Amino acid sequence: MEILKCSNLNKSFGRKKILNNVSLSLDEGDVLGFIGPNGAGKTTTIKLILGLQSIDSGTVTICGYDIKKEFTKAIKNVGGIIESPDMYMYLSGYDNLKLIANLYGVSKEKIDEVVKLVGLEKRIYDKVSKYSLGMRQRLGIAASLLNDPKLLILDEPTNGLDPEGNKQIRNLILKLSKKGIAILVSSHALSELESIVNKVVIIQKGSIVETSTLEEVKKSKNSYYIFEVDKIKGIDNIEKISENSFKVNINREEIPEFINKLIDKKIKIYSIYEDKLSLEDAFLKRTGGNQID
Amino acid sequence: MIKLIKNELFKIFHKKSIYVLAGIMLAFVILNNIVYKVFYDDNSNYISQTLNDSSWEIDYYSEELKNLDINKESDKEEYISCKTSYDIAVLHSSYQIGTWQYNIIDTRLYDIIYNINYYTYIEKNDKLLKEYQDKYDYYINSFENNNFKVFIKEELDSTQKEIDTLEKEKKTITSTKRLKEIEDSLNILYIKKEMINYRISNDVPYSNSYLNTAIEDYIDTYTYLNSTTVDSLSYNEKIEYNNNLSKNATSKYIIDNKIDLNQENTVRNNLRCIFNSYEILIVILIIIISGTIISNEFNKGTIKNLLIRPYKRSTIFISKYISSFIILILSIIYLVFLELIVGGILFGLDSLNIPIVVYNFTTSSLVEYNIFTYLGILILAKMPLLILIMTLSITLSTITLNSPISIAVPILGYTFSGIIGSLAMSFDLKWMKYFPTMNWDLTEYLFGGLPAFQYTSLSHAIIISIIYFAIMFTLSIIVFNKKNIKNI
Repeated sequence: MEILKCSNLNKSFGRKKILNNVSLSLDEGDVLGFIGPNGAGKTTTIKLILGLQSIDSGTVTICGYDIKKEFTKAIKNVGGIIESPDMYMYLSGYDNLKLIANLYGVSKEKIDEVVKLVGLEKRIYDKVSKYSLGMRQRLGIAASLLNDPKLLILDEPTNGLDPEGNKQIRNLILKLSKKGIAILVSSHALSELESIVNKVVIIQKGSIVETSTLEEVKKSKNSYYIFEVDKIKGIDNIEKISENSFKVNINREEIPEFINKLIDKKIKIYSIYEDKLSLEDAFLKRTGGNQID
Repeated sequence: MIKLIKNELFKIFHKKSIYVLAGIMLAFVILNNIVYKVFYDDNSNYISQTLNDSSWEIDYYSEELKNLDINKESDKEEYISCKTSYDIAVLHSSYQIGTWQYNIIDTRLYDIIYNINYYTYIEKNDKLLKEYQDKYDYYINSFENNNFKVFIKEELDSTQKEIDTLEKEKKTITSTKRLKEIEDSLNILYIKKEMINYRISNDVPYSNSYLNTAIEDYIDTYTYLNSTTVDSLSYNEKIEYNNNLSKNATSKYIIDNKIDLNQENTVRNNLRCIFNSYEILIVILIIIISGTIISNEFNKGTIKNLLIRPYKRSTIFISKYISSFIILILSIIYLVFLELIVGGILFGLDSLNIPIVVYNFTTSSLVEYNIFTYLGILILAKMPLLILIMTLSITLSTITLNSPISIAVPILGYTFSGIIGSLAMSFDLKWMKYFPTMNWDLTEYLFGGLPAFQYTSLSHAIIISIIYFAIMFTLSIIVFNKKNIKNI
């Protein structure tokens, strides 16, 4: 089932175009990595999705409800952290959760449940002003889960977390996605999300530069092999790296056949190795080698 | 919406600032009550006024006397009037301010002392001097023996004499104009006589007391009302006429019922004047609350947490508005409560049984109110002022998202409203009747009263207040609904 669908979103501040025909969609259980450098339009897109900023043109539908026309019905299914987990600093973590729980008519047990889920039991009655950024991130996630959302939007959730906390959040996201929640996670670095996302959208200067499923990416990522040879004359379908080396996009099974072909052409092979690109590099490759960050 | 309002109140009551403000209010109430306790005596006289200090007067006149020569023909007149003033000052110094003796020295003894001086220094006449000297001694003797009835009886005699003379003249007179004059004077004299008889039968001396004041006020206002015709009055004179009407009726009420309606050092009086003393506190509190209730959430980023909930933006705005209004009402209740406790400890609560008596100009009669009913009416009449100030803060808070501006501008507006009002009145600026501050205080219209600014009326004031409210409220909702949550 399609949970979130954004079609051709446009947004300008004055003359400056912030978003240019941004489209993306999420199904139940999807974890979408929304990647882009700072200032690319990630947060603006999220704000448009949540109705926090007006949409110049384009539509956002959440669980079939248009965010503009049926705001309350659409937003009912959403939980999220936007920009940073801004909480009332003068209240305790528990009071912050209680305030939100009140608005949905959620029970105390649910509050305890989400607190346990993010591992804040020990400090939940402390004032938020005494929390570290990582604790506030976790409190923010707890808050966004109170209404059992179908769509969870997390804007840079790993910001300020130590590696251990980072891992916890990733595990949490995986756990939630298994429950069927569609999750949109934004980050400026894909490497952080590599292990948990199944869909990736890359945004740059307000435009989507790449949308794909992780399988596609992984496939393309695994099929580069680099050959070092004495000469490269007479070989078809290759990418030249230097006079004595090239790169070829073939499957693992095709390698012996390819080697045979080279031997037939009397080309000496000195070494063959797999090009170990990260997910991010793979994307860079596909988008024409532009730097993301 | 109730859930939203509950949340707003929860947030407000978890802020330290509200308790600081509540503490300031408590301190202010305590201070105000202590001032009344310390500076007013039991007869509700301001204490520093009751400290007799005639010494500078005595010094002044004795100095003057040294410069005058009684043997010089040109100085004689001045010498004896100066000597008389000196003697009066000396006499004043021997009695407490507010005693009946002190109060009547000027009116009853001036002539006698003057004559004594006259016959001593100018026209030496032993026989007349002796006569005045005896009278003086007799008066001073009555002073010493606290025999005020001598003076009351004397007043009665002289009044009766005046009445008799006029009654006699009335019978012979033919001119209608003169007849009218005589009848007017007679009316006043009969009232005077009635009051003198009241003094005799109720033992009311001329010393400062609420009954003495009421008697004097009653005669003064009666005289004014009797000699004034309403039709020819200018607007300001009409206001004065109304004041006299009201004072006349309340004085009569006090005289008839022997109830001190104007005693200042009571909880009742502090409650009756609650807005005179404490309005500024309520105004500041509500401006601080409503001036930050929206802008702070935007500035701290917490507004996002509110706007992504399944509520319309206008519902969220109205909840915040209603929460501010609830705080406004609570702050008034809190003040009344504080006054009851602090004032109750210092003065006791007995005064609460005394009704508030007001003159209703529409029905031309006195109305008695229980103090709390009266307070309710007063609070209602102050609502336009408080609500408009509150709405102004919220509107500024919504539009500018700047808390200092949303607090400072309404406080300045409130502070200058008095000056604006007096400017409008002194330059007779008719168009100012459309200005909000000229209309937002309905207390002056209560019980059919006339407003100080003549171009407004109760219905006009209500309509203008509603229009300003509607403009600001609608504007805030529109702006709040359209507001983009900017990226930080």
